[in-house]
Amino acid sequence: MIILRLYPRAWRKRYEAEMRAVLAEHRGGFRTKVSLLVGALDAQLHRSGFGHPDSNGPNHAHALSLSVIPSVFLMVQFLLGLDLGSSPDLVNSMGTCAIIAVVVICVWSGYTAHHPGGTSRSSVIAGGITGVLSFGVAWLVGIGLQLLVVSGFAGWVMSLQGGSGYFGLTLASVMQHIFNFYNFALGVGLAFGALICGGLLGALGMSLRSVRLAMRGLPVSR
Amino acid sequence: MTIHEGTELEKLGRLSRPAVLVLVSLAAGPKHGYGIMQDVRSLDGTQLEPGTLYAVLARLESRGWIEALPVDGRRRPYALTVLGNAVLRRYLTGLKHVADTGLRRLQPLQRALR
Repeated sequence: MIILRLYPRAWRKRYEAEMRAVLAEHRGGFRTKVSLLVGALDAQLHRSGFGHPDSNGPNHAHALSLSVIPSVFLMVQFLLGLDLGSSPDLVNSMGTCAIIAVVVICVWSGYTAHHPGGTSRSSVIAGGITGVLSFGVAWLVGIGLQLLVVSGFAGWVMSLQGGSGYFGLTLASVMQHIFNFYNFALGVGLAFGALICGGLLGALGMSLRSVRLAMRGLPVSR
Repeated sequence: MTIHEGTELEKLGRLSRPAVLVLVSLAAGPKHGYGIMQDVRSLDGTQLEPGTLYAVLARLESRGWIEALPVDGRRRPYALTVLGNAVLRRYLTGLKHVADTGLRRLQPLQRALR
């Protein structure tokens, strides 16, 4: 069954043969296919520990939850921007904090993915995936904030504060901006860049972990 | 014994209920994947799908609550470990305490409704 190929290699090595035996006996329909798809996604997200010594890998579910953190700073930046009394320095500092948060969580992902006797690959993948996820979530949050501006939310808040009640861009112009081919290509390019930068930061995390393990006299890598 | 002592299983989130059913099934003795699916179905009518079953088995095995036995043909049987036995016992005892208390508290209400 082709869906089984969506499971991680380590998972397939451990469970595929017996699962095929179960599928041979179980008359599965649409529900079975859906459960296998969800199971494959689950196995991809929770790679660590399939009861196999070679399967220790990055925990992508953890990376996914951490990747939300930089977007929180963008949200705060947006909300601070609505308050006309906020210091511009404070508003701008939130963008810097978002970038710092991305760097820190990529390094941390690489650090936690590395384990005694493990390979550098898991750290690089963990950092790269965290970088791309952070970028993706921030991009989605950015679109959401633009739509909030279009919907008049920002203008409504400012008019409550006695401001001019600026209602921002039109919906059509935002849609044009989002679906513009140039922006799409730019997004793909930035995602690719995030993958590479995240991977490098993951490798940095692995190096930090290696130094710490070496100081404690534990095996560093194979 | 408090209900909080049996919450290890609840940390499995959406898979905690299937995990309890799998552990209860294995409490009767070692079984392979399809055997567990059949036993769970006869237990409470739940049809465990293979994707869910193996997500549960992987988690239970990684926590040391079940162990894989040598392969029997293409099938691999699983057995409850001593740790798994203790976790399941704690969880069911906590659940029994809540169920007993709830049923006892419902009795006066039931009499009043008659």
